[in-house]
Amino acid sequence: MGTTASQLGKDLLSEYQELTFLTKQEILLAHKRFTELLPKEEKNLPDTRVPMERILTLPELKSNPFSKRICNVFSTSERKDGSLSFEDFLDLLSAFSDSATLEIKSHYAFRIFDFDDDGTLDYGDLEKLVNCLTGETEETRLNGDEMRQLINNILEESDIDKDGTVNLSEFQHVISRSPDFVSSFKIVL
Amino acid sequence: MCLQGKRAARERRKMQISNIGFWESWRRSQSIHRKRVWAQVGGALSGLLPWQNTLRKIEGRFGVGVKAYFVFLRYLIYLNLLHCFLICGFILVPTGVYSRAFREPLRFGGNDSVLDFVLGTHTWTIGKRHSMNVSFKIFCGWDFTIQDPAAAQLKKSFVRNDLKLFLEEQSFSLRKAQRTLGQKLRLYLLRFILNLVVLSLLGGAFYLIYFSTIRSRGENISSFHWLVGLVLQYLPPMTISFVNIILPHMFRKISSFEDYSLTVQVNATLVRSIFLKLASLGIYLSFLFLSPPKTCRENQFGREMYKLCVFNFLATFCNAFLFNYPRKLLQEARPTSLLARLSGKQHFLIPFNVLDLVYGQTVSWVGVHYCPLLPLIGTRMFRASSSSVLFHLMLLLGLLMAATALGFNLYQQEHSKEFSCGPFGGGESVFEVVRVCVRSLPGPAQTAVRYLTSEAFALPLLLAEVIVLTSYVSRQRANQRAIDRLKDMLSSSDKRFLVKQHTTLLRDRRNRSRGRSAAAQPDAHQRL
Repeated sequence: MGTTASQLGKDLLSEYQELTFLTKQEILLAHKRFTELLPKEEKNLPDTRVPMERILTLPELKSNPFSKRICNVFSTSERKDGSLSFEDFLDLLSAFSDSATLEIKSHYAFRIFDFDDDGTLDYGDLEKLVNCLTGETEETRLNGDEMRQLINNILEESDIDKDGTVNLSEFQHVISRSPDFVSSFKIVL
Repeated sequence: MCLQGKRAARERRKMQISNIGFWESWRRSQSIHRKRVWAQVGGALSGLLPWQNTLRKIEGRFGVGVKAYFVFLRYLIYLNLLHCFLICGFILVPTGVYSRAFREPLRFGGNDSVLDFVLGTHTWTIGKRHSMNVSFKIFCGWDFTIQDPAAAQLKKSFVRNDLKLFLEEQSFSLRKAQRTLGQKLRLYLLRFILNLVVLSLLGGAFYLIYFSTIRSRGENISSFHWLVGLVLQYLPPMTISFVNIILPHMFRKISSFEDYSLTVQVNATLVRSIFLKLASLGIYLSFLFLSPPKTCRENQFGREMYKLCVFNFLATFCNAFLFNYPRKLLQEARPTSLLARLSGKQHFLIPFNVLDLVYGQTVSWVGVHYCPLLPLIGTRMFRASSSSVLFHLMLLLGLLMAATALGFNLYQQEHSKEFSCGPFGGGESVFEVVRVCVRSLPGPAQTAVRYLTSEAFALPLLLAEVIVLTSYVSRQRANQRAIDRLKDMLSSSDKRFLVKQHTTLLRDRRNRSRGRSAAAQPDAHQRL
């Protein structure tokens, strides 16, 4: 732990503390876990990125059906390959932390569920979302009729302006009525 | 906003701070420090609560729903332990110390004391509340805290089943609307016959309990081998547990033939089971009251409750380890075999488990005045309860039953003093003991107690309660009216307008902040 702390530096640490919802211990732990993912020769370089495949080996993300989307949403990489720098990683943990607000969490949830990144949840996004939830294999996913009935139900409930898609404010409207969301939209190392 | 963006925003704020002067900047830094100190104090305090780490692990593996369950369990364990300490402190220890009144105190027959009690362990699967809204199920469906692959699989199948159930309910109501008259008639006839079957099953169960009570209280128990004697003594609890385990399953099967929608099916089964459990306990209690006491009613009563509790515990234990666990093993080893398919997949049915808890708690409440250690055994019972009103109502019914039993017993004791024993032995009733105790208090305390029990105190108390209640009720009514009015105002066209307004506002704000951060980004980079 001592070496990690000195690696991060006191100034940087308190800066991260101010910029995220994380505590000092959480940041140090995050740094330790992040450096464990790096290969040996890159450990001391600043600003290295961990490719998505390695991030997905974290037990906190391994069984999550949305893990790839999460990497893509939080990655600031120009190549759009879902690789995360340490700061991206902190961003991710901050959004999923205990103290992040409902607004932040619902905003990121919306971006994660927006599979084609077009700013609204349309029929295709909802279909992918439902498939992620039920399991993607042939025998676990809902059949065509059930899927159509379900998505029509969702749109009827949430699509208030009746444009056939669910936009961010409609999404947040639904989420704000759920008491469980803040406690379940959480990843803690 | 990513970390870079936040950094830029902070730089901007720092620039502002240099403008606002010393006092303001000191105040802001102080508030940041204060926040940090509070965070540290909070962290230190939460570390003091027991099982914090275990709960966190549970949350990580199985998700929030199961964790909430265990948090509640912890709370209830505290509650029952407190109950136990109170009873120990006020009844058991004084009885032990003042052994003058030690006339066959609260002890049980030699056979009973052989049985140990170990606190129960249980197998859990994920359970969750029902919410009617399908959008919740999708948008808030995943629990991101889940780490265990098996738990993730379980969650997926849970979501799938939940969605399928919802869709089925929906198509069921469609089908119901299209039923013809002949079909309806046939259905009602079927339901009538099935209800008759249920009634006869209930009657049979009650007769069985009656029979076993009579049998266990026969004169010639001591003439048998001790094992047979033990079994005979435990016959009524055994019968009650057996009936309570078998019949709800039969009710569930029966209600599946009645062609109700799934929630109605569950509710019908639940109501029948509530009736069965509480009524069977009630019948047993009334037999105990009505039959002539042999030696000491209180001891006998406590003993019966103790037996019920122990046997209930044993039944749950056996159900978990001798039935559910082998079933699980069988299903893992041979998922396709006939036996595995017959026994079906293991479910954690929350309504029935809560029903068990209510039953156990009622037994514990009835018995606690005659068998003080009961809450200690009973800790397992009161594990969980969903927020549903029905469950609390059931618990209230149980409490009322316990209170009635106790009151009736006290009333009877008043009239037949020669049989009373236990802690209030020697012809003294609870009331008389209290009276004697009060008389032994010093003068001021006595006047205080006399004032507290007089009308002069009771009347203002009642008045105050009435006022508080009235204010609550009227406030609730006013809130309800406000909610209705707001709902009226939010008719769909208004809603649409508001959402559009909100979207445009959001878009504006985002555009503006993007423009600003683009302007601020370059110099922030230079500084870093």
